[in-house]
Amino acid sequence: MTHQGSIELDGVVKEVLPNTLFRVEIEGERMVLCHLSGKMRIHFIKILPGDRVRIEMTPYDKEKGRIVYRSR
Amino acid sequence: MDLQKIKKMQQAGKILGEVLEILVSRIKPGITEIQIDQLAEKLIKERRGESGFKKVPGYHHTICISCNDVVVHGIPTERVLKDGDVVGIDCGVYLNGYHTDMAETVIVGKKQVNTPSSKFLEAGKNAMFEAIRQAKAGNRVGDISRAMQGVIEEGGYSVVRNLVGHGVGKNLHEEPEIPGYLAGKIKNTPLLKPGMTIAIEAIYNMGKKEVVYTEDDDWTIVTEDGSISGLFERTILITEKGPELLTYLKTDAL
Repeated sequence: MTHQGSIELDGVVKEVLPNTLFRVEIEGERMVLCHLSGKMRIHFIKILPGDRVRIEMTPYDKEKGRIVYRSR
Repeated sequence: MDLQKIKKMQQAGKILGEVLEILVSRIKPGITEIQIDQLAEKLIKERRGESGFKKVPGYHHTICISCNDVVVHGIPTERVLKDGDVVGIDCGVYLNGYHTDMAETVIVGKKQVNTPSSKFLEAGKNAMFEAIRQAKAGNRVGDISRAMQGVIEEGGYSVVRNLVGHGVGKNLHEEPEIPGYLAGKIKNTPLLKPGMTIAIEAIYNMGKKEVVYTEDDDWTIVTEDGSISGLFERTILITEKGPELLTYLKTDAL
């Protein structure tokens, strides 16, 4: 489910911050602050540093993103 | 302690325990996953409860079923269970506004003694109960994690890192997280207080700890190396005197 005009990128979680925020490194060694997409699960899934994730960004804010999928 | 909440969760837990007891007894070669799911739905309804998992957006089944290398979130299919399969059933009951959560893993068919699979499941169950024994007021979440990790790694198995136990109550997932492994100092983990209701889960693999999503459904999580995975879970209440099982099988002994 990609919103119109948004870009999807792959990245690696570098740091887990409070409030389900994560610092994710994307290509070009850029750091992006990401929050989790709202998909609820039956199990409590924890995202850990080193996990490869796919993130979604708008072209307007290059600093923030949304984790939509844990790839690893 | 919120006595109303505890009473309601005890009722929901009793239903869940009874249902899972029956489901486990029905696991035999020849039954399909979807038949177990339908049976679970019927048994919960007969007891005037609701399926907790159906309340999760996007999930349409009563149970999650995890065969062999499936770790969690296996969606019930037409697959027929066969002798020797290692099958985990995870189920939740919602009653009067509260959730309870529980899982058990068994071997299908002939009883096995001292086989790799049976030893694997014994270790997981022991780990879960060792962890539950640590769940008393004054201890910390880290005490639970350390006990769990100790038993599982002693057996030569590994604890899955990306899935953790959790608080349970009005929501299926609440604070605090209850990992099955210790990541830092115990004193930095949350303190356990009387009245807390938590789901303690042993989620572990025979091989390596890494898990991956399967490509096809975006739910099912399997072990990366294809090794067998086990799952045991109980909802418990922390009291002044120690842990009380809110979901239990008849054979459970603390």
